[in-house]
Amino acid sequence: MAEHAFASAPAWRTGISAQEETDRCSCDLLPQIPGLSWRTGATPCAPGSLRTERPRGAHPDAHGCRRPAGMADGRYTGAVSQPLAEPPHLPPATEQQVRSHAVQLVTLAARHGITHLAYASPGRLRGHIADDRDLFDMFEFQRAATTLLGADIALYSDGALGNDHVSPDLAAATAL
Amino acid sequence: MSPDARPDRHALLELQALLAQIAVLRSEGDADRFTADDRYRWVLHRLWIAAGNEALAWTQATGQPVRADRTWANLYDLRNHLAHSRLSDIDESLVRRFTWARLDTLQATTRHHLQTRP
Repeated sequence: MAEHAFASAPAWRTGISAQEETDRCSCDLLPQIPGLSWRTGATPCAPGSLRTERPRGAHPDAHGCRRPAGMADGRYTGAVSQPLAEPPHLPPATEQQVRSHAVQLVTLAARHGITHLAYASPGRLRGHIADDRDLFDMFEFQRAATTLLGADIALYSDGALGNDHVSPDLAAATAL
Repeated sequence: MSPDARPDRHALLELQALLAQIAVLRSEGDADRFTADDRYRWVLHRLWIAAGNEALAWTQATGQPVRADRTWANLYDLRNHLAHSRLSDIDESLVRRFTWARLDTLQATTRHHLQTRP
């Protein structure tokens, strides 16, 4: 069984050249964090794996190590991640758009356990999220409200009003 | 460098690993620590932001709009909320409630997708 010498001994003791040292995968040198499943449950790179880029992701099988020829390779990913393309953004909803749909917005909010809806600033509303609801309810309301108005809406919980230095528009939001 | 051969699986593996790390952090804390320890909260924020990025990556890899499916849409909107809001405008009690209540379901969903897309 091949020894993963890179992790345990310097190059001068293992006979590995400086270039080989540079190319060798270092995923086993990542910080050992107790309890992390990707250190204990997933398969780390094989000894002698060659590095094509530094491991960046959270999962070792997705970071892009290249194993030497002839070694079994159970990975599905290549060397680089794909850049993410953000979906297009709508303009923020104006106060006029929000107030002209106030009844519909309040009704919509109630379906998601949200009350005390208030206009803060363009694209920003404030509301109270019921104790048995959470952020997913808030986001589902945001998307429904955005669809209703054809303009972007972000909802902020009035629970943030107790924070130091909360934004003035949220503090001064006026009820719909 | 070669392109990602399986970007869909790449995104799911990353998401699974990130959710596992959130689960570890959750097990190491409680409501009191979440309230008192800023850095504990901010690490959770960062992991949720990364999870939202993987939700976006997954939907792009599978050719669907990020807001077409409720789970991925919510993770993406969570990313936007945590990444784009000033910290003082975030209701942290909602982040805590969400982390404690929704994580297990999200892990199960990710596992299901990994099993059905070998």
